[in-house]
Amino acid sequence: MDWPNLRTRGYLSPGEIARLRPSPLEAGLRGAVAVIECVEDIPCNPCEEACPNGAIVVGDDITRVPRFYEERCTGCGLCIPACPGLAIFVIDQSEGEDAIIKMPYEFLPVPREGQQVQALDRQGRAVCRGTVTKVVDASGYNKTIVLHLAVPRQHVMDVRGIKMTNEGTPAGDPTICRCMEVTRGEILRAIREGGARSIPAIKRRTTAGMGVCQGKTCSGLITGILCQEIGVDPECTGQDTARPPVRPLALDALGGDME
Amino acid sequence: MRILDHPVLGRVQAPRQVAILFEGTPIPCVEGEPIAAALAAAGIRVLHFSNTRHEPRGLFCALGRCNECRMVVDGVFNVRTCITPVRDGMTVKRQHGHGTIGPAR
Ligand code: SF4
Ligand code: SF4
Repeated sequence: MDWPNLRTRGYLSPGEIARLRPSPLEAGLRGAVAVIECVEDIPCNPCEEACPNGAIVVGDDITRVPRFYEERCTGCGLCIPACPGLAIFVIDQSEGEDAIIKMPYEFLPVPREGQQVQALDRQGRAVCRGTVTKVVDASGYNKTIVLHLAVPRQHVMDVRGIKMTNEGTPAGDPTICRCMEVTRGEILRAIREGGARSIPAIKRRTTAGMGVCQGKTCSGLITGILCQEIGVDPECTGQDTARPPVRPLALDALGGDME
Repeated sequence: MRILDHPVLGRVQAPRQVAILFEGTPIPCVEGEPIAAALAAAGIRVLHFSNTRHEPRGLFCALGRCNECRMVVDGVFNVRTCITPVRDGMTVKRQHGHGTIGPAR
């Protein structure tokens, strides 16, 4: 049962990938070729317009998934930044020990050419180390950057993202609750070492969610971390108790003589 | 940067210029825009410093939810500047931490 994966989890499963035709893995052995990981019938067709060689056809029925004519594809990569869903990649396994994956990238900071990064799969899990061999920031690409990433060949169909290692930036422990300045690491500790199994339990151990914004910014993130850690659905994590006031209020407004 | 011609909201007609005082420096504003928008247009990105780690903080949600844009406005702490319109002559200061009860020094 893996068809519902994209809709329920937000990323394609190996089964969904295996159904992509023609098989990108075989085509990629001969040279650079596009991999179009677009499986939903959505009204969208910039990929068709972007391809100078007619390798991608959506047709008049704009909700169809694109059909891909591998033999026409030169691997130029013009379709990569054109896809608003960031669903198109180009793979090339024809040269050298490593495979090259060309992928869209829309985060800051932009990696440098030559930089070592962690290569991630569709789910965001670390797969292997990768090297950014090229960074293409072309004016026609409308601010979507195309990265060329070299990874060991066996991972060419798994790696679809990168994570920068944190050279020169504060330790890779992002702040989750911005008001109370609680980091992801502290929340993980509350779950792993403190035994917290609900949102209120995390709140009691870390104070996350007790700041001025009343958890409006962090509670979704904390729910996600907890669900991932202990493998439950969001309905099972409990909710913070919402207490007034919901936004900063002058004391005057409660008891004073403010209008 | 200001969006003066918006695909949905249309073009801003004859914007009226006003000014606020940010830490003593006059900042030109378009009447009616939020304080944080005027500061952003002037290149000012740090709006307050967090209470514990004293980290610089700036616009985050920009719709009044996250409270990251809290500043001291006309001596009042914790004003969410992303949803508070500018007024001519308003004084705006960076806030350090949570603020105190009573008027700001
Ligand atoms: S890589 Fe180039 S030739 Fe191949 S499908 Fe994309 S745009 Fe067309
Ligand atoms: S542009 Fe991307 S999302 Fe749209 S149809 Fe083409 S591949 Fe699918």
